[in-house]
Amino acid sequence: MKVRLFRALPWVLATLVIAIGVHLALLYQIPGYVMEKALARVGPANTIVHGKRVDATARAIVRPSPELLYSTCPYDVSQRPLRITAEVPQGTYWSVSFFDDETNNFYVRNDRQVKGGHIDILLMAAAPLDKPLPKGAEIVHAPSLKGLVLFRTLINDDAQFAAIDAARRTADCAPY
Amino acid sequence: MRLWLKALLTIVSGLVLGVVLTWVTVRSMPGGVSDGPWRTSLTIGSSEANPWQRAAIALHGLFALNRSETIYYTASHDSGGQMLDGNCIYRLKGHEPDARWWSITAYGPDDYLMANKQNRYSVSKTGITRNADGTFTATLSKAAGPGNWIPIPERHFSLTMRLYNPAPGVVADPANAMVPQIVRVVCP
Repeated sequence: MKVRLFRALPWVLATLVIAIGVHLALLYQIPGYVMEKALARVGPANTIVHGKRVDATARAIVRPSPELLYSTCPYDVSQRPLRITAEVPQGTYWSVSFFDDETNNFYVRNDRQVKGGHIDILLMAAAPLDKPLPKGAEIVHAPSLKGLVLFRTLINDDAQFAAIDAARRTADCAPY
Repeated sequence: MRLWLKALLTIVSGLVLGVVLTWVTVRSMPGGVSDGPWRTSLTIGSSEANPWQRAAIALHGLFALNRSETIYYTASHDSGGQMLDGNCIYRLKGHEPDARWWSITAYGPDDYLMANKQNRYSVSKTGITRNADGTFTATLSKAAGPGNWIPIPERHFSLTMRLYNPAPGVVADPANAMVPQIVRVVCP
């Protein structure tokens, strides 16, 4: 019996090594894979998409909030920086957040943190810029070349839906 | 047993074990803290998340904000420790969470909103009817209920409670925040 166990030991150890290798490989691949699929579902790079009101048919992002209006801009700053602008809707919660290709939320500003009622952000890679920076724009360095810019606007009053929807549609993104 | 058969068995067993191990460790959010039936991750949206948390966030909470902006609590069990079941009736009751805005939303097993005739999915700070003492009560059930009601048309469901711009005390100690109880009223 002992001899049999001793003979089986290398195979058992090999099985465990393969299992741990597969586990770690999957673990490190999941965020990037899920992010890539999600970005492809959201829309073309460097283009803003103002999503419709969330209901049970929404399948772009897991666990969406039905009280929020989502506007998305998948970013790709490998060629040019991305300029992100928006007038901040008044009287409701609003935020703009950036996510890298590993799902990290590396930047967020909400309506109470924005000065002057509008944002002007230049999201860029580490590469030097071949033209002057836009005056007054906030510079944000992207930790990855691809990721997502996500705007959230709270529908805090159904009667004001049209006005809130119009206000959030001032958000835009375009290569600079 | 022949050598090639042993090698094949070892590789297949290793692959299967690796996949199962991954599924088990990321099917729910690892780590984090509990507050009654509610659980929250302390590293969601943060680069501090370990590989297990990062994978789980990608699968179940993609594009979640970091906790200084929003705290997300999830519940898959009631306050008695029983798994949530869409055939039962539940009462959410307690004080409102301390945040600029909050909501509690029901999701199906696929992590999406569950279709229902009324297009109702949640209760929130802006729409909730409060009791005289400032607390609130909401019903979770298949059949339509009066007042604050969230439909749960599917057998397996879970809840997410969002706290946008949570109070500093909640950010500092999310395990002791004011959160509603999830009480099982009746179960067939």
